[in-house]
Amino acid sequence: MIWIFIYAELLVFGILFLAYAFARSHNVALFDAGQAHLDRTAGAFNTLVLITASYFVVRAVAAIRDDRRSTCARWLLAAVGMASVFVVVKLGEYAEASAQGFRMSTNTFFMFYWSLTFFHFMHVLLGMVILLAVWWKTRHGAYSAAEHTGVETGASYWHMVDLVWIVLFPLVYVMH
Amino acid sequence: MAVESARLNLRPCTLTWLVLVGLTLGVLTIGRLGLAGWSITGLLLASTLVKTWLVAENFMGLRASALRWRLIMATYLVVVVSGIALAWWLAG
Repeated sequence: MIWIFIYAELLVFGILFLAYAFARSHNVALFDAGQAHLDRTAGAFNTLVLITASYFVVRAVAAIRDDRRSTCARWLLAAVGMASVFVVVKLGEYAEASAQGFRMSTNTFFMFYWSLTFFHFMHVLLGMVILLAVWWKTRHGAYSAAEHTGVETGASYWHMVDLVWIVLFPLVYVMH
Repeated sequence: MAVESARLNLRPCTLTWLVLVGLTLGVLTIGRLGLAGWSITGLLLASTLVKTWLVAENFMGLRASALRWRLIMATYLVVVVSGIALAWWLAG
């Protein structure tokens, strides 16, 4: 069941990615000029943060499969901590873009930039809520080596959020 | 998501994380140098394909799932990356 949900989410992001790519093909100069204003280092840093959070989630799943609940809870909390770093960096990027006057209405590139990244940003926030819920339930003994579907489901959602950003970063920040 | 009681082998996951970090730093280097062109676009798209497949297989646990779920993911990634490549080709 979780795969159906994940694929539905991926389909939406896939359509947005293709819409961005084909919109760019009609106005390459505008997209390249807009992209030049983005902070590639912040984007790459956030990529490292998300893949590290994903790795922590993998460690949490490994821990619960071994029935190490407190270890699982610690890895989940570490993943939420990394996700918080992503949120802070992204909010900084948004503040910088706004200060420079780049809003959704500025041009087609920034319409896509705000739509794509903010849609993903909302998924990061939801992922954090899910990981925190799984962490809380783990702490209260809801999961074990025999039954940990909730942990694996939350983990899969988080990895989907990571996977989307892995496509988004080179597409919007680097490729020109 | 396949729920398995078997222990998770962490070595491929740690290696996956290291490869993801390395490829991300490679993408950042290309970005900071301002490199462009067909070969660079191809390199970035190939890197994206590898990274997403590694996340799906080793982190999401698709490797242990039914073949149909793996095929759907592979098709999705190839279609999205090919579509982006086509758009870049159309842009000249």
